[in-house]
Amino acid sequence: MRYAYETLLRLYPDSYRAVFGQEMTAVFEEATGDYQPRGFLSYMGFLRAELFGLLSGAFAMWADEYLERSRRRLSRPFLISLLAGAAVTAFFQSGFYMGMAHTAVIASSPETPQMTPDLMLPLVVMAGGALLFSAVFSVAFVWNMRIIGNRAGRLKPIWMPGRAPNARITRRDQTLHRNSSGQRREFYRRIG
Amino acid sequence: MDTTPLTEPVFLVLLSLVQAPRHGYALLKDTESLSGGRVRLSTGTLYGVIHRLLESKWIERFETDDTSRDKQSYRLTSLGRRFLQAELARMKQLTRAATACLKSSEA
Repeated sequence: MRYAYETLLRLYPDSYRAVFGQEMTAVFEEATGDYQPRGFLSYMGFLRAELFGLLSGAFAMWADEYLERSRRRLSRPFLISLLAGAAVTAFFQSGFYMGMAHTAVIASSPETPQMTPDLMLPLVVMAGGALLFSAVFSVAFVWNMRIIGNRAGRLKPIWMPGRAPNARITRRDQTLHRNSSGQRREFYRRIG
Repeated sequence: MDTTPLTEPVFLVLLSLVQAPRHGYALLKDTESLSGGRVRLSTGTLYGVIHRLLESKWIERFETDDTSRDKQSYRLTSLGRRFLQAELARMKQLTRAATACLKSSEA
């Protein structure tokens, strides 16, 4: 059971595990010794509570860790990726709204044949659907850019400016990033 | 001073540490007895609470004779004591208001 508990503890961030890991395992073992003699059902209830506590605790710790990292990593690549995501989103959104406005102008013209109410409803539903899709796409896009920009610069998107390693180079030589900065400089000098 | 109400696990852990410094397992047992067996913290919840309280400096770790890597002792700081007193005052005020409301509805 100790092994299973230690395995589940791996769900926590490393920094947290380094401080509390051993202590938590020791307390769990003491509590296990308490609950085992109380019968099978009591022991199962205890294990269920422990499992739930570990999972929810790990989730909360990762949320803390993520927020903390986001605060620390308001770096240039992160901001650039965020702005790029927002710019692309704005481009698509503005295209969509301009298209809608153009359609509205044409529709209001007296020369345009007026739509019957039967046709209006499906069109409104389709426009709403497109708007919803656009909104979801925007959020997903920006979120994706955040994740990419947040990978400590190691998996920076290929199209991003700057001299930092990008995704293609990272794939070409993964091990290089674990080597010294001198070796990295030499590598980038060689590949130009 | 922050007046956000404390969660029950946080309140019980602080209450337990008012009496004496304790290590993890002792806290687990004491919070259970303080709540009359109603609240049984899991180790994940307990150490989540301890982590937050340490970060807020409401409690602190300290060295004892039997301190080891897997048995750390915790004690309340003066800041933690102040927050606990503020929480108790808030609860007392609520209890007074609730009692008054109940009495007036019965009368």
